[in-house]
Amino acid sequence: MTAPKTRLSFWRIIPLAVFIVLAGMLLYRIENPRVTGSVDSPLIGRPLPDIGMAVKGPAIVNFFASWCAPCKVEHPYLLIAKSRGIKIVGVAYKDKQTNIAAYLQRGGNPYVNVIYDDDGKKAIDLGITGVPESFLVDEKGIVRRRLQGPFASVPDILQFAVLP
Amino acid sequence: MIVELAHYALVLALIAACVQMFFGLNNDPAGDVVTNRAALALFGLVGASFLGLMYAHVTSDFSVINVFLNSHTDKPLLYKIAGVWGNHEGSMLLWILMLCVFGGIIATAPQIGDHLLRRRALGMQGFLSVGFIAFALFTSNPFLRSAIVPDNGQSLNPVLQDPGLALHPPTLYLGYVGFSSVFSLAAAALVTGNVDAAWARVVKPFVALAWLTLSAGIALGSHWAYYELGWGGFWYWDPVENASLLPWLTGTALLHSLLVLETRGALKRWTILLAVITFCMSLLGTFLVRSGVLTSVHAFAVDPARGVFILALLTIYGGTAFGLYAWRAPALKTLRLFTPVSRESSLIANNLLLITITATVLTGTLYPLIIDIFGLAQLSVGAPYFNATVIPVALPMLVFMGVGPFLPWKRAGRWTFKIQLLRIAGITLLAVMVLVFTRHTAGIAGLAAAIWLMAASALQIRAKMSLKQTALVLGHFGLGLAVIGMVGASLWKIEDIRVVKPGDIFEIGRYTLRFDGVRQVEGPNYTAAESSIALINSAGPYDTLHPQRRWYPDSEVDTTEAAIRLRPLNDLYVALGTQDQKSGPQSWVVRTTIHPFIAALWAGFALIVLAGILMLARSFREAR
Amino acid sequence: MIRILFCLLILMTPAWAVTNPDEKLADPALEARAVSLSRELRCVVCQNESIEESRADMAHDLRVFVRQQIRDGRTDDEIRRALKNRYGDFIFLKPPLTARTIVLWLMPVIAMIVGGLMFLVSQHGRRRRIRR
Repeated sequence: MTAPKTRLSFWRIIPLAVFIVLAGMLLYRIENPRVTGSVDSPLIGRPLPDIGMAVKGPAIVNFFASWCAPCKVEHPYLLIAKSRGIKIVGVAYKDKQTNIAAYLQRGGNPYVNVIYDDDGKKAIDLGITGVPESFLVDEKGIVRRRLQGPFASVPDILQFAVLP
Repeated sequence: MIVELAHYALVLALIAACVQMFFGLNNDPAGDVVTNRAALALFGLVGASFLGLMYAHVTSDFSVINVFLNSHTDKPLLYKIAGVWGNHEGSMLLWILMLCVFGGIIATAPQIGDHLLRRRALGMQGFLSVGFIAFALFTSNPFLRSAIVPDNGQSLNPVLQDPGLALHPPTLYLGYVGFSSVFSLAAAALVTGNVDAAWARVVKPFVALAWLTLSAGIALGSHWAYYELGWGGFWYWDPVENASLLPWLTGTALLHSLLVLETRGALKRWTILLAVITFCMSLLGTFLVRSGVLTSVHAFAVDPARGVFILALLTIYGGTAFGLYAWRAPALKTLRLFTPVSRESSLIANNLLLITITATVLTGTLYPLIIDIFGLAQLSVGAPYFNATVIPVALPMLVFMGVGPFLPWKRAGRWTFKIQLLRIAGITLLAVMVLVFTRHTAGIAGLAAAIWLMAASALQIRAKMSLKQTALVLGHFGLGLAVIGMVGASLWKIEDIRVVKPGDIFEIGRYTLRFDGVRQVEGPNYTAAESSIALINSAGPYDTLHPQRRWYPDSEVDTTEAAIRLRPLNDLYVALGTQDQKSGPQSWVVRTTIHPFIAALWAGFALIVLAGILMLARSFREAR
Repeated sequence: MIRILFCLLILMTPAWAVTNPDEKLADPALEARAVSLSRELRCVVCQNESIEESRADMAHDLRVFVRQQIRDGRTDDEIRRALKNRYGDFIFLKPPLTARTIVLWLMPVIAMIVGGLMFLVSQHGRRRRIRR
């Protein structure tokens, strides 16, 4: 059976075209996934909010807790970063001083300073969505980068600390 | 052994599907018979495979990885069975089973007079089966064994150990996948070039069955969310919920469009397009749930490789169908003109509004994804958006639904229809005045639209009604009733949360409750803190409720089991929180909610499904 | 993946679901404002739930934050701006109306107009063909 050509036959292509475009976009997203749940921080490009202590950059501000499993995973990388001269300020999220002291004694202390955020208010001020989370602050006190989740490896944290 | 047989059955099924596809689409003279036999063989093989998996679950064969990950000896039998489809691989097998069920129905349906149509449709259905069976065998095989046999399994998420949720996937899949048969019949019709009233009659039972089971599946899911999640909510505009709503919306449009096709022979191209789109929505939903692109509370375990495979399937099947449409649709043109005030136009208006809602829900669900791909923004689109955009379109639709059935085909006569309109308006106005006088104005627009629809449907009732008319009345009235439930349960609800100790008495709405303390109870695979809450009136206690907090040691999860007392006008929904040590020993947090008219929501859903059943019955009768 | 694990960790701690009684504000009008505002805010660690419904610890902290801001006398818009400065537009379940979201918000109108036009055009074409 022959299909008669009509002037409007171009409309017939539209459902197919829309469909192909949609499929293309979904394919793109699958191939280039966002690290699950990662969201750009609105703090980037602005001064670090007040966390109870002035942070003289360049430094990494790292939210952690002794009860947090992924924090333990990235801990060794923080220690190596410290040994390479990278300044890390720790913020203990919803944790007790005694637990933190024991944690840092057992695993080593990569932090030049530890600030306590007992009620999580400082975390909210920085838009934290969980622990661990890290920020890179430059010498002027401006936030330059944010990482949600742990550092995956030593090169990762070293690259993170290099100012853009 | 049984598991290996089940595995081989699935492999043979792949072959059967290939045969079905090949002979369905070629011109071999023996093809008619071969395709039918292949479809039936396919059904038998996949059925056997599925039963084999079920056997492994029921006998707790932990050497099968799928059973190990999702089952446990302590699990009650019902949930051992439901555990078969409570995970990605098993539910995929269920999906495939449904594909084959509908293939079998197409092969044996007596009303399909055109043998070529049947054959081509089976060819398409076979094509679908090949892709999905391959997907299961190569990326999501439920029959894989492990060398080490563990003592016991990891059990099923307790939240899924629930009768409503056990039934939800099979029902939902009957609907979701049922539209595959409509898709195949539409594709076949594009190929044979025959889309007419006869085709509409052939397709109607398939649409009716798929639509009614999809409606039931969604209603079950909504009811489950209501009693299990602890807040009494019934719809969250979660991406996976939306994924099931989209085919329902286009399926409803399809149902109504078929009416025009079978009565007037018009809207051929549009009906075919809807048939294709509806199943593509099912495929899209399957992709969204299993690929991880939109993570959701619902989503199964995420695996990008699987996601790419399903996307490929979606692209191939959708691309084929839309391509067929682009190629063959021009041949189906009709010269039908529609008068502005007629049954046809009201059905077209209904379609337009349903498609608008579909477009909105689809856009809202995918927007965060799309806008992020272009690096423009990172947004969330949630309930506030959907409520703000869908409700203003849905309410006028309810109004039109009330008027439509009064309009005759072709052209409306002047008198009868206007008198009916006045009657409906009168009833609605009366109801609105009552609401205003009693100061219950929250959601008044929704209530007015619902009452309008219910009055209009009720006025359709006659002494002697055909199945078709009864289905119409029940379906529309049911929707109005459901909307009343939605408004009451969300906008009129009363909430109370407080810390209580044994003996405390408190009031909510018209109820007086007394907290009588908490005791420990044991279930088959959980321990629970069970509270006792007495309802009292002047004569003393007349009822007790027992909300629980459960702890499942196998999965280390605690859940809250609310106690619900459902009455026609409202429910009493009580949930137990945690112990509040600060307020003293034996003090607990208790949350009580009253949802006015929620019974109307469930009754409305039931009527809608019943309407679907009547339509199915009618389309069987007609087909002879 | 770690994110999901973390979220699950949170869900497993027996934190009470929605608003502890002592979270609530004394003034019912203010509390109603807090609830209504919280329904628009996304629980940033879990998918698609608002902070009002979510059992997550973070949701609890955000509810406390919102109520504290209300107690301090801030308006709804000021509170939204404060949250936007911390979390970005991601935290709003109701996307803001900007140039980038105009298609999203106008979709119902667009769909109806496009659908209506398509129907009218097809009818018009038929009228012309019938006259011929």
